[in-house]
Amino acid sequence: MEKRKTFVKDVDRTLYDMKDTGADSYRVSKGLTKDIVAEISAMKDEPSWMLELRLDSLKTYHSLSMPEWGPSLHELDMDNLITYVRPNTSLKENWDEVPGDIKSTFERLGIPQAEREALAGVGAQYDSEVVYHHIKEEMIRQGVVYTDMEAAVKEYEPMIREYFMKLLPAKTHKFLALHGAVWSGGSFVYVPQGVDVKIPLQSYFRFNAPGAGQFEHTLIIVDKGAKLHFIEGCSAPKYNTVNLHAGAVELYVREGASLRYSTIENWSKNMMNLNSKMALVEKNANMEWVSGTFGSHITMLYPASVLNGEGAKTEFTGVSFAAEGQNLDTGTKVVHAAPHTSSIINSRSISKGGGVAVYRSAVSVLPQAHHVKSAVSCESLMLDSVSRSDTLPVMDIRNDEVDIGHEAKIGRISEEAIFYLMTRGLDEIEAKAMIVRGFVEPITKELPLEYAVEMNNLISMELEGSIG
Amino acid sequence: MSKLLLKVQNLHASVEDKVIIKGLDLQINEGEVHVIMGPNGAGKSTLANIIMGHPNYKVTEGSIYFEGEDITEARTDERAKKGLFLSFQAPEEISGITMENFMRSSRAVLSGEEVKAYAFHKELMLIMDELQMDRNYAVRHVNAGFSGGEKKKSEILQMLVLNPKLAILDETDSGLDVDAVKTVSSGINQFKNSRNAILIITHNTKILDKLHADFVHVLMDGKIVKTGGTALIDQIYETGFASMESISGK
Amino acid sequence: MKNVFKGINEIPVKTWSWLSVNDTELKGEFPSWAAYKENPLTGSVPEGVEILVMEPLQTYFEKYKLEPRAKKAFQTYMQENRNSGYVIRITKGQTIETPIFLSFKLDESSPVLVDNVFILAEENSRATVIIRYSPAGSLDLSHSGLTQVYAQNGAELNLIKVQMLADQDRHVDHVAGAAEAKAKVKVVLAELGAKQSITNCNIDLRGENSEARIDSIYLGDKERMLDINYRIAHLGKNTVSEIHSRGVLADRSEKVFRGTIDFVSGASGSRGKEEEYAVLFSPFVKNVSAPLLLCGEDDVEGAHAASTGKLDESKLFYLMTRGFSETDAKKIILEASFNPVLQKITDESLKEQIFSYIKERLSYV
Repeated sequence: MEKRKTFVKDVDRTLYDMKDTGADSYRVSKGLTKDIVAEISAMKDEPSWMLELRLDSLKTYHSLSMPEWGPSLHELDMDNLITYVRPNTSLKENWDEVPGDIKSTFERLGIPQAEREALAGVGAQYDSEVVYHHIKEEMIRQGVVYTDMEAAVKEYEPMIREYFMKLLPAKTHKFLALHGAVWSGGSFVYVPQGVDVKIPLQSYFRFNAPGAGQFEHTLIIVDKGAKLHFIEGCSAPKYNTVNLHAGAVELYVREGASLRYSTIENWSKNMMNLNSKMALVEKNANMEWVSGTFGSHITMLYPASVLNGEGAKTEFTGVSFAAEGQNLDTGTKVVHAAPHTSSIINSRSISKGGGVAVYRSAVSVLPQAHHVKSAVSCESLMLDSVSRSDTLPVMDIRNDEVDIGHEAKIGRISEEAIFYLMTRGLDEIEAKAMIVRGFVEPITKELPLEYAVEMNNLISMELEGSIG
Repeated sequence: MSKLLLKVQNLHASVEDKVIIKGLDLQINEGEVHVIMGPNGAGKSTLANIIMGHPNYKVTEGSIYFEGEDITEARTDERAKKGLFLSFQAPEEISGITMENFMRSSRAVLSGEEVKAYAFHKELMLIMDELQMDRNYAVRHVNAGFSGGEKKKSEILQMLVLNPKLAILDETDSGLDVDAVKTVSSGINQFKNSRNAILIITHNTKILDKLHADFVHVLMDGKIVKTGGTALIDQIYETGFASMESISGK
Repeated sequence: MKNVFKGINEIPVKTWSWLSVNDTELKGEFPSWAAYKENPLTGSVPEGVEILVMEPLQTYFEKYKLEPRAKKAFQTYMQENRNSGYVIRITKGQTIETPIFLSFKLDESSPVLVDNVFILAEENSRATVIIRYSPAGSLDLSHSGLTQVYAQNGAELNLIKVQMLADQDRHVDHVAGAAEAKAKVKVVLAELGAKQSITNCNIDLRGENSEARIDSIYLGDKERMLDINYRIAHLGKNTVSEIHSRGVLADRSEKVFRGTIDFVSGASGSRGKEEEYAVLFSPFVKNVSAPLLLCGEDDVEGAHAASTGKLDESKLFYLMTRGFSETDAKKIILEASFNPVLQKITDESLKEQIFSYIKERLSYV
């Protein structure tokens, strides 16, 4: 039989690409100097230690070089990036008070309907500033804090000072240093000891301004025995200039606590998504990452878990879908720093239309960490022969009382499977879509229903127009 | 006279330039049960795949008609929509999709109508109970991690749920334990009526103990060399396929 | 001139530098030219084989353009300091039953070896070539080498390389190979000794329906370091590859394993598989694995698996109830782990030597 090649059309992004014009009130001039950083800090009326942190980070930024591995970042022109864009509104707690054009953008994306339906609290960030934050009364009564990071720096100053950029210090890499210098927006969550936040908290990030950067900072502390599910969603319209997203997420999961952090990222395809995420997981605590990467031009994202206390666990479940013009370099890092810790990593990637999907991971077992278990499974699906899919896992093991397994598979949709489904009446596209949905099921099953539905829709959209 | 469902006329077919079917004729009417027997490599499974339009096989000569319509060039899903069904010898595993969702999607595309989840669930449970199948199969992924016997049961369940006009059962009875044979034969009996037909491809006759076959064909070297009633089965048992070769003129 | 080498054994695609897995460096420096006085050829040259010494090498290297995964500086070093070189040509259509054996001994009078070997298997020929490196005494011996193998249409070439150097010795070895249509290149590598052992093997499947295998065993003990870099690239259609590696690490030994299956766009219908199993005998080892799967073609099947675990204690217990001492039981388990690879070595006496070498090494474990 003649082997057939698949051509897959690009997805219709009309919904995500809607942009409004000129809603911002203030912009700093292009490029990055000490003055700009000081200006950002002054605008936010920050304590002096924060200004110092910003200036130190700026120094680090200038001293660090670009990464020598991973996707090429040559398109990124740091001197011409507007680091800080402030929308034309102050923070609101009542959705009705949010200005119409910003509100309509979020409503088109289903925020805050999501809140009305299933969430304990919602935060919405538009460009660099959080424009909307709301948390249910009941949560407040239990002592749960959910607020924007600017407010937290003032209201919870000792706690922020103790934890801010301690897991992810500026020296980690160039983009974290940049983040430290110009960070703006993001959320702070504190869940007190023993409190079980039964319904998820959600943050939604939206970029509107062209050629800007978004550098939100998320800090979450889940105290002893407490539980939280946090969801973040990201999107941006498409402009011809390159946008940069270099956020940071620092998570502290204390003894016996559990935290699930879910992300569905659908940035527009001009976005450089160079985000950093790390969780410190204490004794018998549990950290779960659920990560779906669909959008962006380039993504480098590797949520990390440091299993710092005995019996700590982490699970990473990730899916990425790389289409034309996309280079999605994703994966995870796990450090087993204590005995009896365990990790499960499950990754799926799909590439089509010249897209590049890379799975990159590092599992480290430190000498003191005995009785460690780790299971890695990654599968890649190639939908055509013009795309790429690379798997680059590394395991560094320094103790012998370990049980470490790694499995990876790569290939395309089997023609026999398509035939089987066609004998049951599905046409070729439906058959492929069903197989792809099944392929990412380990991830969709971890998502709240509305996100699972959105993800399946994204897959169907991506596959529509494919011809056999 | 009952309606003609399948007509295979002077079929020649090959895979990767190897000729496997060499002039095969076959007619199946409503209400009939046909059995095709033959030694390994005679082309039995190939025939099933060709009737369903497997892209690896090339029909080089002859035609296949279903309800009078030429389907030789039709796509596999079109054939399924017309009422053809194949129970695979080695069904594919589709992980991530539950049996129930799979069959409901299939029912929807075959009928062209929306299938209500709740009503379908009730119907499915009923059929599974009748088959004495564990209800847990409904939430398991399509054939994923199923044993050989479980896969065959899953195929029979799909046949009952999708209710085709012609069901082709490719070695559905091979390699089954007693329990699975029971499920499979009771499923087939449940399915069979005067408006549909069954084509059983096998090299083993156990399944025919509980099922009356109207016609038995012997397929050898890409051709049907003999057709008869159930008596032919006994003859094969006694003398083996080798005795048929003289008939095929070799 | 100081011969210090950094950035050797580079991984085909870089990852985080803090993992220190992207490349390695030679501890200390390599000696400059000295004579190698031994004759490695044992036995007579069988019919159908032509063996040429030294000079013709460069012609073959230039003609077949195999690309060893060695830094330019290191290649220059080897070219300038080469003190032993052979071209082995297997004549078209010939099947050579007896392995061709090159045994390189290093000793006081020949403490430095820089060997280059080119093996050409002409169309439809079959042969096995064994190369062994072994020391006489512990004398700070240095070996670096490059073995190139080229299998023309339909040829089958088996290359077995066994390194049994002593604790003070250094070993940097490169294998580069290519297979034309329907040809097979099978390489067995036993990395058993040396203070620092840096080895790589790179095979290009150039022709349609060609096949390549790398089977390897490695053994780390004391404070020895092993650095491994294997890659098979699928260039032709319907090509098949397998990398299969088994290792044991004891004491404070360190190992970095990089194994890459690379499906280049156009290599449709190809299959590649990679497995690495490491057994750890001590809590103080360093065991790094990077099994890479690179893919630019959809019509392929690729899989890799790696596992690391402690010596199976119930197995150990079982063997001890049968009267074996703990050390003996460990040796049996190790042997069992190595056997799938060792059985590919058809030369019985060499296999015996390997077993006794391993036993000797593990006598105090």
